[in-house]
Amino acid sequence: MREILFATRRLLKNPLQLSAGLLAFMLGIGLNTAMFSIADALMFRPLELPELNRLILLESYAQGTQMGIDDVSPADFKDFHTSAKSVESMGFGEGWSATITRDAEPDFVSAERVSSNWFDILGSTMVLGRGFLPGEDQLGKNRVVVISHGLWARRYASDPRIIGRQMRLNNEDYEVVGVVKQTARYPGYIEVFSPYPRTPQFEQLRETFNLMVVARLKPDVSLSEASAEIATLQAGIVSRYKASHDGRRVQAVLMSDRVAGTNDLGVRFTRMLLYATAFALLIACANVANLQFARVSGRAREFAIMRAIGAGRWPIARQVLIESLLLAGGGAILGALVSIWSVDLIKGLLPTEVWQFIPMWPYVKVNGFAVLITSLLALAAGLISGVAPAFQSSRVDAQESLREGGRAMTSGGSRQWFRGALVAFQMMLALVLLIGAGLMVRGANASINMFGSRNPEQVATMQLVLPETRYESRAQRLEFSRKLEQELNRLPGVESMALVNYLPLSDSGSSVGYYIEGRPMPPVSERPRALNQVVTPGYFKMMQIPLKQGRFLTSEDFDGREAVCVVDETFANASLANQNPLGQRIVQTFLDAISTCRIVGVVGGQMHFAWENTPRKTVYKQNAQVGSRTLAIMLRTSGPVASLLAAARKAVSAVDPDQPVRKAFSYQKLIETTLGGLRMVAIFMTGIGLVAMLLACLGIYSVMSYTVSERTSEIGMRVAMGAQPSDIFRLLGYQALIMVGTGMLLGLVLGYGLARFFSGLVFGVNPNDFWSLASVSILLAVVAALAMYIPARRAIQMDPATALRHD
Amino acid sequence: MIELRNVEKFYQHGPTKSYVLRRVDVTIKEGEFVSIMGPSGAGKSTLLYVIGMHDGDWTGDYFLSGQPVHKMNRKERNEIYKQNFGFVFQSYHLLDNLTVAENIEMPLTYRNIKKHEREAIVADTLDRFQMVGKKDLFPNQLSGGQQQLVGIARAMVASPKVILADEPTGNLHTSQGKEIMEMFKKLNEAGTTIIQVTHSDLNATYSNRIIEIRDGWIEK
Repeated sequence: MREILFATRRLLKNPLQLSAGLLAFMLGIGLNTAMFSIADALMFRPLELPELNRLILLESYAQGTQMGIDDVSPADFKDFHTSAKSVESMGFGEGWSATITRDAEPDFVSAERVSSNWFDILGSTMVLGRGFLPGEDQLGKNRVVVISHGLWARRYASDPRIIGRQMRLNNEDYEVVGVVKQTARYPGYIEVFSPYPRTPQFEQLRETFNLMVVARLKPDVSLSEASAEIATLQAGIVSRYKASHDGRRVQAVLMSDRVAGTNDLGVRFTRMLLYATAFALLIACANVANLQFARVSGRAREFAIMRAIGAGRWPIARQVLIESLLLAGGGAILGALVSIWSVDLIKGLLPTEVWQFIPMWPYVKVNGFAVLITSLLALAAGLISGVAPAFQSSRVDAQESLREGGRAMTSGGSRQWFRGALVAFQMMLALVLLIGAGLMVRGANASINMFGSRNPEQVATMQLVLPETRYESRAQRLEFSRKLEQELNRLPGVESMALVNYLPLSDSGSSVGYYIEGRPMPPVSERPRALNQVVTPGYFKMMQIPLKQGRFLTSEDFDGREAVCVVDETFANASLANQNPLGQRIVQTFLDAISTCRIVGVVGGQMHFAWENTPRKTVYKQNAQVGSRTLAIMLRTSGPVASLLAAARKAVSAVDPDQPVRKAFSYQKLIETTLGGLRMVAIFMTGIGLVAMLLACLGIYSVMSYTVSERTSEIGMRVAMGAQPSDIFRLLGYQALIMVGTGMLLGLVLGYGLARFFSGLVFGVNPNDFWSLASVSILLAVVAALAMYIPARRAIQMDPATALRHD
Repeated sequence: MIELRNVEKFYQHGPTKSYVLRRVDVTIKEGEFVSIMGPSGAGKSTLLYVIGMHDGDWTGDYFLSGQPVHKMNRKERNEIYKQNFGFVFQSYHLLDNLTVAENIEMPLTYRNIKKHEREAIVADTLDRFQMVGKKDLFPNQLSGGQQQLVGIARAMVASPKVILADEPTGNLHTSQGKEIMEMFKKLNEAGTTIIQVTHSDLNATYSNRIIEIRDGWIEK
């Protein structure tokens, strides 16, 4: 108790040092705990399903290109299901578009048609009712649905009598048999699950690659073993069906790695943020180590006195230990508070449109284990750097430390080197983090402003999907589009109008396989794929796509006329290099459908997906010749977008009162929403970078302060010899420059490597981005210079008389 | 040469003042060898630091060769100090990471003297103090007396008019102390004004005037 009291008193004696130590602990522990808690929801425990690490998906590749987790044919599924020994159960799902009508406004929902054992495989918890029964996934018995908790709350006010109620889905009645827990459904954005209406022909479909396959591993089987077995089974399928399957590969992946869908961008970004906060923790640990080292080194005389009056080495070390524990304890408590606040802040900042793909997001909270681990790490740093010099000091002859005169006027070389190395290490990490943050911000801005010249804030957009039940035929869809265009063109304030199946940067798109007519027809598995954009003629002007050759699509290209298309430069260079693309015919294949079109024009390339760095090969076709089921409306106006959106909704209702629309925003808002996750990452990285900078500069300040304190007598003596303030500045500055300069140089080298890594991850990041590298380096240098200047200024303002008497 | 009129220094502790120097009037002529003596805490070293302009927090008038130091700013004082004074410390205050020659050279680096000139002056000083053979040694390789000699050489290297010495033999044996005092005597005979603070009556005999100070007051 007495020692705790003495330790507390000693800590409080130097409030600046105490605050610096607590701040380092607080920020390091707080940031890491917050990030770990979020990573828990995104990576470690993204779903509340039993034994999540035993749930796998089958991911397909064709000719080395990743096709995704919903690219297995029904016949292949049957083969896997029959033969795979490494799994105890296997099921499938297929994306489905569904419109709910009756009871309220028409609502377009994300839906999935699944095998009847889907929820059994996942082990999902039902809030109400049940999952599907065996046999319900047969045509005629499949008119049941399980809905998500979110849909139940939103559309049905969490009515407990929802079970047994009839839901009008795509103009047909389905009985609600269950409500699934929000965090126990997969995929996480699906709101309606219905059994797949299997027919006897279903399992014959060998070349229709449209299923998501989920399986649960047997208890004693590893992922690699399962993947090896799946690969062997796939090889057998390929050998039997070479024409359609040559070049295809299937591997097993963990469901937890694909929570948000095919791409693992969310996981990659989270991992990046975890590394960033780990860097910040390292900086904080280095800070704590430096502070402890300085504090203990400055007490050599005190320890000598203790030795002189009989204290052994352990009582001396115990003192330091208790102080370190107190400091770490206080820092851990503050760190836990910071982490709670940080988690709440981060949860509030992430837009709904982003976190709806993260089932566990609403339940993210501070992870106590993370608090403990990071606290222990920081404490270990403080202990090692405090107890070690304490033990060393206690070995020195007391007399030598106690006697006056003849003592060293300069600090021990190895102590100085150690402290300097710690500061250089902190500077290096801080600069790397700042560079990362700068690059992410530039990348996020570049992505979000990719279409800046098109003034997307003045374009109203909304999306709709024509349900199969009411728009089964192409003629019906064409008629809808024709009427819709008439209604939209009549709206006041519309400067130009276009329809497109999938808006660029909306995170949606459709690619189909193709080949060039007249060339040998490649097998399905070898066919290249191109983005299939179905547009009205006004689209090219709306998106400022330049014409390179031939002509654009026009209103003269309608149903009944020769099917024509326009390709982009990427397509032309990849598939029609060294020949004139105009007049060539493309044959597109999708499932069982084949369509042909003649190329009449070549246009400039355009980005479609934000996570890619270059435009995809794209084929544009006239909607008046295709009749797309999926449509996005684009209306350019110079007036208020909000009122135009309201008018556009009415225009859609005028054509079909039961047709719902969704994502009705300005195009700018749609882009920002789609890229909301990327922006959040950029914001987080910036926050972490700034914290790292603060901690690193705190480290410099404390080392400089200690150096000034240690060299006070020397400084006084130099002034007594005639040194000017500039001479003292130069003396102290040179030492600081070595520390900071070394760290920044190493940081620049590492930062350049990071830039190369980021350029593959984020659009708009240039690995030779001199401005980003230079600007953050200058920022850090300026702040570091301030951290050096303040204690140095204190030194030169000292009275030499005071300095010379300093001991 | 040095004239102090009504110089006072105090520390404020809440509402009270603790005086370290009280109405000090001192005149020191060029070429004098003055000892400042008194009991511990009397203000001896404080008076020395005021004369040496290392303590700027005092009131009163201070004239150095007729120039009003009390009206000068820090930069001006630093300049005038460099032209006139050298300082010898009780604890030597040598830098352990510099050789004897480098320690002696240090004051010259603060006086805009070119390298080759500095080297020449240092060589002369080493010779004068018979330390040529030790020029590459480090302070921790020397005895206390030798270190203090280096301290004196460093104080003299810029040819100051006045040497201020704060207990220069305080950490030395008697024989070493005698050696130092003999050196001071020689320098004084060569024209350097010496002002030393000392407890030692023996050391005081080398001087030609003693200023007694008690509780901040100069004893008349």
